[in-house]
Amino acid sequence: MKRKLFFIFFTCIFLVSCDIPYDSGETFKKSHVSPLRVGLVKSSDTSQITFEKQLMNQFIQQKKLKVQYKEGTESRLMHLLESDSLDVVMGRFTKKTIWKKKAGLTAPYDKKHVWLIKKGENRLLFEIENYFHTIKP
Amino acid sequence: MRKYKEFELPPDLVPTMKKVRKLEIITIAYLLSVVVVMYLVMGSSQAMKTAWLEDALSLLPAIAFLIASRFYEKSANSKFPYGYHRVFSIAFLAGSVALFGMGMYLAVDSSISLIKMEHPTIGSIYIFGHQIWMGWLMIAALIYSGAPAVWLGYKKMPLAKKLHNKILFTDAATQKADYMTSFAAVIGVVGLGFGLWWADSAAALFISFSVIKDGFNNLKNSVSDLMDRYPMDLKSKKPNDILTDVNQIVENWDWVQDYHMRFREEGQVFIGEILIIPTEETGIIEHIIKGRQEILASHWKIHEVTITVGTYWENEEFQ
Repeated sequence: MKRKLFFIFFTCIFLVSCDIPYDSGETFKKSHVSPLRVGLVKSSDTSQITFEKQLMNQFIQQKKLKVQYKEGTESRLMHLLESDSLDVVMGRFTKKTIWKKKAGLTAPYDKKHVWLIKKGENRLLFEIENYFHTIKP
Repeated sequence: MRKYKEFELPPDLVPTMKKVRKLEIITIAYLLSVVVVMYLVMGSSQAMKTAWLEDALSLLPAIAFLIASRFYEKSANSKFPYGYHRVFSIAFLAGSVALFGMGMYLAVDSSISLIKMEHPTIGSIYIFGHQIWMGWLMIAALIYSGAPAVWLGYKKMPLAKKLHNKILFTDAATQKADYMTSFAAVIGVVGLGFGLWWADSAAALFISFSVIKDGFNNLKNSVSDLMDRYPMDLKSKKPNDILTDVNQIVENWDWVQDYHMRFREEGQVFIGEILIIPTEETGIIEHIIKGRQEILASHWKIHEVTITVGTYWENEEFQ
């Protein structure tokens, strides 16, 4: 009986495995209709902002999503990310960022820098990491 | 004063003990590999963290058994006149305290993450050009941590019963039930995959309750043993059959008018006393010598028995 249950459980998982992981807040799915809310940390280094924005635009294009940017200070944007008013924050963050307990971290896009995403949005993270892999040199 | 006799397992059980030691070494090597694999894929999943700590803790009974099995046979000496049998009880107590304490910590930790509504974020990894969600690797690691453990548990259980060894029995019983922990953690990770953030912490909480339950039962048993509780059967929790047989032997002695018997468990052997009210006053010493030999020969677990003669008045005091 137990064996049968295990078998049924794992078969079900296998059948739906293609769509796993899902977002806990359906951010990626919703971004096809309403824009993905992206925070950009204000910086004196405008070239970096432009570079990360370019990356995001390419990602949006590749996945056929919509996007909406918001500029602000790091702490302000992180507050918005935590309160579910933003989906992604970009700003030359590294894996060791002080915000790592408050946000999900993507894999680095250039071996060092990462984006911060709303916690629990595992599909969005999966798709971003998929995109980062395609642009790897 | 006569020293306690040297303890040796009966010849037919020596290969069993060797087999058990071998199985415990395999268990330790396997569990160490599980701990490493689980740590590598753990990520921010609470259920994985809990299952990982549980696996790390399940090393304790195996280590305790191997350490204790090196000491228990040492013969009694003037410093330790009762021998080293209780080394098993001490090892058992130490393991139980660790298990219970960690269970409590995990329950609090998982509850906090549930109350704080922590949404675990799990990324992906590229293996041979294929993107794989880390949750799948976690599930693979959990299956690796569950299936062989159950097999080891099933292998050890009959040997534990044969040796009447409590640490080994607990170790085998915990490992046999280990699939439940792994399966709960798998459900937690799959739940996360479906976007159910709470599934992870809920699974972790479930696992921590199972750790607390194991820890509490072991703690209760080990403390009872150290308190010299009357030896109980490992599984049925009824007074041990071996001592029921000893009772029967004494009942059959025609030179005994009345008696009181008490035994305690020291590691894997029983040690006790019998106070006898004889029917006759002659030949008592011969009766005692013969009777003691008969009891000691009845089962290898009866390691030492002291037979004393008393009056009715003393017997009442004794009871």
